[in-house]
Amino acid sequence: MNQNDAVTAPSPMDSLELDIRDLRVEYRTMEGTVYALNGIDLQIPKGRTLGLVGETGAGKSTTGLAIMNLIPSPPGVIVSGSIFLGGESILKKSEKEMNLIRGNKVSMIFQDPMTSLNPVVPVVDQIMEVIEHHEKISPRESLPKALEMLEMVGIPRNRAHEYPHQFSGGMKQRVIIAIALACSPYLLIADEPTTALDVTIQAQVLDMMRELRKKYQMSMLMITHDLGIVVEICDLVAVIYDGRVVEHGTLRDIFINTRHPYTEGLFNSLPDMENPKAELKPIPGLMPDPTRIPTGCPFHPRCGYAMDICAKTRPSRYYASTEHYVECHLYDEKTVVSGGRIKQ
Amino acid sequence: MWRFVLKRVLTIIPIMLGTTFIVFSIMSFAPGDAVGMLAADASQEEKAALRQELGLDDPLLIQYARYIKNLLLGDMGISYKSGAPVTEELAARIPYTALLAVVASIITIILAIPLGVIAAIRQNTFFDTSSMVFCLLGISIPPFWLGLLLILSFGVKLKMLPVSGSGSWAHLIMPAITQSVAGLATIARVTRSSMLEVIRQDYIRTARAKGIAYNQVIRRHALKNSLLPTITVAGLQVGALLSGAVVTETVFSWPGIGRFLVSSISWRDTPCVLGCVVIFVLTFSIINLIVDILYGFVDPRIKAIYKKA
Amino acid sequence: MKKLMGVLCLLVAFAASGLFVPAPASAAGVKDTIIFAYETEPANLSTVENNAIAAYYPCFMIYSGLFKNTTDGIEKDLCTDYHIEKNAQGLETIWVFKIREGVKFSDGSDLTAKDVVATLKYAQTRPTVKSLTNWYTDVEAVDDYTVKIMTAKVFSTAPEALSNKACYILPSELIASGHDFNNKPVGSGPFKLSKWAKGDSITFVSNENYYHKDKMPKIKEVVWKIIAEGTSRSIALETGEVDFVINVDALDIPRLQENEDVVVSVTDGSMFTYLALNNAKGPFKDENLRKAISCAVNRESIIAVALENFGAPIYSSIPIIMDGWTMENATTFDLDKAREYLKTWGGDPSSLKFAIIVSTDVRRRAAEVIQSNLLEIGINCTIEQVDSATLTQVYNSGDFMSYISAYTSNDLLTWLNGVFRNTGTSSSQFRQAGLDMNGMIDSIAQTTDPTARKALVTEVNKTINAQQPFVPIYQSKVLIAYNANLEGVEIDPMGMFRLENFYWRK
Ligand SMILES: Nc1ncnc2c1ncn2[C@@H]1O[C@H](COP(=O)(O)OP(=O)(O)O)[C@@H](O)[C@H]1O
Ligand SMILES: [Mg+2]
Repeated sequence: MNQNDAVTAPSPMDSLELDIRDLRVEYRTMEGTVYALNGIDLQIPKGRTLGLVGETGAGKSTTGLAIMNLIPSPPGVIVSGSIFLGGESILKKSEKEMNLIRGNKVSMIFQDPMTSLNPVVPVVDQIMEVIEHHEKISPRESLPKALEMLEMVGIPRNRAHEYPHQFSGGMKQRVIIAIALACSPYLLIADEPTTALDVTIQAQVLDMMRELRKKYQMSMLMITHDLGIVVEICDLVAVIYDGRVVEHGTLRDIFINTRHPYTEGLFNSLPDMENPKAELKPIPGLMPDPTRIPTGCPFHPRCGYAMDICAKTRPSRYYASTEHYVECHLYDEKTVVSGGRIKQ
Repeated sequence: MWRFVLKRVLTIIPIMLGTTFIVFSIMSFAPGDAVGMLAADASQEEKAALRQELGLDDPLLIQYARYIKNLLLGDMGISYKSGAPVTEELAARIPYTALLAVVASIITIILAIPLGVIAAIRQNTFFDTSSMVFCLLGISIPPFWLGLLLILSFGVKLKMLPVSGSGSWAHLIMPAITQSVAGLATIARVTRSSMLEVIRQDYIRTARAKGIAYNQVIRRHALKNSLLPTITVAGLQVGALLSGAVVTETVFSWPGIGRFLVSSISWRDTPCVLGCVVIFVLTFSIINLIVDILYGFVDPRIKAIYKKA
Repeated sequence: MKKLMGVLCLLVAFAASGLFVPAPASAAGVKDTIIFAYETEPANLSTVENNAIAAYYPCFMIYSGLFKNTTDGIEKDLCTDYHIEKNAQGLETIWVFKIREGVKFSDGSDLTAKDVVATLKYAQTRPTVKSLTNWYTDVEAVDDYTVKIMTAKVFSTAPEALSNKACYILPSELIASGHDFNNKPVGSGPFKLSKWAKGDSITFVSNENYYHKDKMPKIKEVVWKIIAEGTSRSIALETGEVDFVINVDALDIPRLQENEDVVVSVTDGSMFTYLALNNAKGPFKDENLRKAISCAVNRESIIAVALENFGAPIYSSIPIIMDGWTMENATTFDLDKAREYLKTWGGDPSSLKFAIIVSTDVRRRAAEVIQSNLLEIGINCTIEQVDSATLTQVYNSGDFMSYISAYTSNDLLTWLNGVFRNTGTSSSQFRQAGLDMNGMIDSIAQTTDPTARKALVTEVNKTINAQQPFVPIYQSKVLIAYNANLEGVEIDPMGMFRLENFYWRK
């Protein structure tokens, strides 16, 4: 990595597993056009884990689906931008070519394990399917591999032929993880993999994912709104608001050298471990109506530091370091480094 | 599973008793009787003699009890109208209705499911819209009218198909089409909406995320899941085939049980009417049972419930 | 799944091929088959198990009797000669019939006096034909080919009565053994049953044992196809699937008449349709009211509306074909007269409340015309449509004011008995208008001299007309259509024909 010149945008390089540039996605529905992604940029270096953090509706899942090229269409439309996966442009691929990539080079774990498995197919068959497809082997050959995968995610072989309804939520998520990893992908997209699970189960699943990540040496896009998970598993963090990265940096950058008022707001809405009595300060208001995005900085109606300019122009990106950047009018090229804010 | 089936088979008995009793009562209380039809001009004594011969002068409950007793022994009685055993009368007609129903069902299923599936995965395309318009027509056209329309076009104008009777495969074509159109339309619509529901499910996305081609995802994952509502209406539709048989059989002079039932009712031929009812109830019950068993095959969650039962 | 479907289809195909009744193939282009289309299936092919018209045609083919009814009247058939003898009291109550020798049943057995005796005795025990066989008290065989029939009173129309299918001859051995004449009919008629596909068709083939060698059927195979729907029958004729349609829908007649391949036969029918009025109770007890209604009913418009003009109006109370028929005393359509009769009656027409009960669509349309006719003279009525079993029940119970019904017979006595005889049932009493109908019918029955009989019939006709027990409306035409290549077709007023005379033009 050699990105000393912070102003120059990084170019798609071999060392990046994922490189998303200025991606815009809209959902054109009868009720109006939803601007889900508004020029998002994301890069994941090989072998690293990026946490994608934001409130519900920020566009996290849309980002994941865009990488899989699985945005439901209609109503979804990729308006512009590019997605490079291991140096190859996803958006230029045909459906046939995509089918060789999905589940093989990139896999995705979806939010709700309860509904993500086919209820009428035994779980092992659902794993075998992906193996057979990508390795072009027969069911006889794929069965041992699938059983191995199940064992690896902690499900005993004798339950392999059961149906999803016979499994608990945690076990289902393990099956889904087994499906995702069955063909050893380079990139794993995990869309809130633990949101639907009990807290204890959450921990087990996260532990397992961490181990598997190490074992497979893969890159990971961890989508979550839970900062606790970010701390546990991520190297890099991208905070996304209204379909755009508003702050990006290493764990340390985001957690210690917080810049964006929105990121700050996310922390304030968490209970403080050291000082449990401290009052929670949730971010006031709701995400803007995605069909009618506020002018200027989309966060300004909810921002405690909002200035006149915030309602008028979109803030540009300021780099505190090669990896740590923020989009906010409170900073300029200099203050962003020190952390000092421009006062009104 | 077998216990479940056995239980369901046993429930046919009360259903059978109930329906035959109701129909028997209706036939008994309906104005007029077979004697009036058989010998309208006969004198009082002659009619009394005939009533006695037919057993019509016994109290109703005794008549009913006698019917049930004989039914259990496999004897469905003697037709008042023809004097022939009811079993013989039914045996001559059931095969025709069954043939028509089976062929109509095959046509229905073979066409309706692909139609519904394709319409769903091509939602809002020309194919979808036109096939749904077709289905709407299919549901709203009265079979009687459709039958005559077919007769006029393929029988009279084009002279391609025979217009009445049951002599060959060619005779079967128009009745089978008439019989199947409404069911085809209903099933296609249900399949479409259930398919639309299913293809939005998360597990379809999971399957696509594996890299499986969309068509295969539909075949392997969506089809079976979308089949439950289809099976339900298909089961009901077979029932509709039986009742629809009356109209179709009349229009095409198809010698089936539907026409027989209607003429038996107008003759107040209670044994024959009850015979038809017994056959209908049996068919319905068996179809319902098959539908329920199919549920189990399609959906392991339902099968689990059966196993517990 | 696909395999399963395939197996299923194969099974269906296999099962179906057994079901289909293949259409008879005409050998080397010579057509030797005729296909009839008729609306109802005969209930029973036995001569004595029911009296519905649908069974008449098939029975005439399979069986034969001592006499037969032809377009020219009653003819001898199995009987070669007959005379009447006096009993001990000097009354002519003993009929002696010579039976034709050398007649065989279709099963090959000989037909003798023994079979005639057994048949006539057996017919009297069968409830549905009792009213057709209660005129004789005893039957005995004098020798192998002579039979004596004893009647209680003088009975002039024994040959007519014996021409009814209920008196057609069955083999005595089979009667004794309880044979199933319905499924396996055995008779001495020109045809025999070949196959009965229930609900679909009945196939007959000519009976090689038929005695009448000159009248051997010219067409060897007859298929009697059941086509319930009127339009379907006409269409089947147009497409050539059937050759002969009985009871053509009046609506189809103009179209069929334009078709050069089809002959349409419209003959006067004897189906006598009338509006029955309850003579026994209520306002219709008064003959003036009955006459007022008869004068108000416009038969011509009923025929136009309900029958597409295929009918003839009737005013006199017996069928016009009967010897001795008269218009004397009959009322005709005349509104002024109707109002006069109403005045004589003296009641308030608007106070009348009654329903005309009907059982078919044609008669409902007729009733609708009557309804508007009656409105002209200030009478309101409603129409109630029921099925025919209900109608039978209604008139048997006497719980009615009026209904529309019909009766047909070639034979005057049968006709009078059917419509007017008081059989003790309430149904007959409601049609009597206080007349001694039984006495009149019996006196006709006992008058053997044709001239005297004709005069008597005229007298009876006048008497009934004067009382107006019911309102005669129309006699519908017999509408038949057939393939233009068919020759030898003769149709009698009941719509009956003898198809052994039919043949295909070369
Ligand atoms: N299929 C869709 N049709 C219309 N709008 C959608 C669809 N999927 C997502 N959206 C909208 O796009 C925006 C981003 O959604 P999503 O990516 O699911 O957010 P997140 O995962 O961060 O909660 C939301 O406003 C959501 O309502
Ligand atoms: Mg989401």
